[in-house]
Amino acid sequence: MASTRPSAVRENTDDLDSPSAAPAEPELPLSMSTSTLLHPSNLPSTTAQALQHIHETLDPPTQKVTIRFQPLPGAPPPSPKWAAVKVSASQNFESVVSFLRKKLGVKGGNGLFVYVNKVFAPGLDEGVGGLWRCFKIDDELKVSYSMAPAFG
Amino acid sequence: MPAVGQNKDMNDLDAIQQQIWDARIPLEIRLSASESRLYDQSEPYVISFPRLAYLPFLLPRLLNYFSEELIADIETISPEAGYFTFDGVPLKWHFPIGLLYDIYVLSTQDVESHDAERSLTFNGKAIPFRLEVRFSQSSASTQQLHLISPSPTVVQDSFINSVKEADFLRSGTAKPIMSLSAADSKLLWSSTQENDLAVFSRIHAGLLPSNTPWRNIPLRVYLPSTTAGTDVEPEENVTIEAASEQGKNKSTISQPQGQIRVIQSQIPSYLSASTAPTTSQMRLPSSGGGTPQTLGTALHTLLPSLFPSRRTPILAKPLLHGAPVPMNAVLEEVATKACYADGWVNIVVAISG
Repeated sequence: MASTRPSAVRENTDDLDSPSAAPAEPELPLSMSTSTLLHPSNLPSTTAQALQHIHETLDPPTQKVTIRFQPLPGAPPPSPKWAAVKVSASQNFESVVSFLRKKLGVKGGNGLFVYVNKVFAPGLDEGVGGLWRCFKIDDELKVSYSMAPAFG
Repeated sequence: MPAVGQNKDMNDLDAIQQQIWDARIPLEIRLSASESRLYDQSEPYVISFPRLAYLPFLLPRLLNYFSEELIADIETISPEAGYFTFDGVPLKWHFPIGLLYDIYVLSTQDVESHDAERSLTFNGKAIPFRLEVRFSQSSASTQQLHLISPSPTVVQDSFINSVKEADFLRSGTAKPIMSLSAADSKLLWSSTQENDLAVFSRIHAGLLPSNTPWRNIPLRVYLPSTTAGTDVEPEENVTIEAASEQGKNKSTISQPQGQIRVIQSQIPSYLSASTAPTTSQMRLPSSGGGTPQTLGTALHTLLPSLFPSRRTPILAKPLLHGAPVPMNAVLEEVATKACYADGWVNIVVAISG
């Protein structure tokens, strides 16, 4: 099956993994007081270890998932170079949308509509890792795009 | 909340659903001192609001309530410029109010009770839910939300997209929601806005797979945690290829900062020993063809280190709509009657102290 695919999966595109695309702040921060309260030194050691384990293994930046881009009618097709890319599971969907904007030359704001499985438009704050686990098909997250709204 | 998993009687489940839709949270909302002519002396807006509702529903009346004391010219401000903070942290407007409360208040109650000093200094009590509203968009914290302004259309679109995600997980397609009539689709949203369970449940029931088992449970788990902050140092043994990326890795080093991790994955409705259910099998959910997924089996799969047992919460307990949920609760039942209005089951993990 793999050989029939339109293009090989590219490793590590510069755009998606540049530091500017990576979230500098946690997506859903806790306040300072709550952060302190939940600091490992304030928790039973078993709990602290469990949380540390989760932090290290749940969607770490080093884990990559494959996204395949599919144009909807009227949209320009992806070049073979970025038809399928590997993206860090720790990024959020916003980085995927800005990647597409850059590749298609569409400025921020209007004019680009991005869907998963030709069904729904994920929130920009949704994690790529979680989207991939829930909605992958053949181990790829299928991301389609259009210059006009679709699937309303 | 009564035990979800222990009685399959639909009347009990209906009673639970009624309780969830009736549940309200007292809110005390202040205008940010920096935006008020009265600085921190203004009277808060107080309201008891449904758990399942969304914060932007309140923006028009909040702008109206605070219009006299706003420093900015009221003519230049639209309600959708508003956003909320709790304890200095900006809140996502697309999370239902009850979920925000469970995440930011209830999830740390157990730990907090062990910290007498903090419970004295930090607002003291769990209710009311004390929020601050701002209408100035200049703050960097709004960018942190990664969201556009919550105009009524945007809020509705966000809700419908969330419904579609849930639909796709349950059915493997989005056929049920896509084939909903325009009128019913509108009613799904308006019944959420108006907290109208009778209308909601008729339309929601039509979205659920009826003659086939569900593919997956729309389950999201919210885990508050703080890391020690010493584990993200650049790796020592980098390969030549990875060496070029080392500079980038440095940008990921940050202060110890607590955050909410959102965990979601495919959670099959049944723990099938053999195969994923296919349509040809036509196995009815209640026919006992497989072992139903419980909250405990799902949490153990998603977070084995935090939920080492499938039956007993040891290090942390799962909360839903503000109440602990039994680990043996059957998830398909929970997702049928105890879901949020968009169809998702949003479990908040409360760390035990």
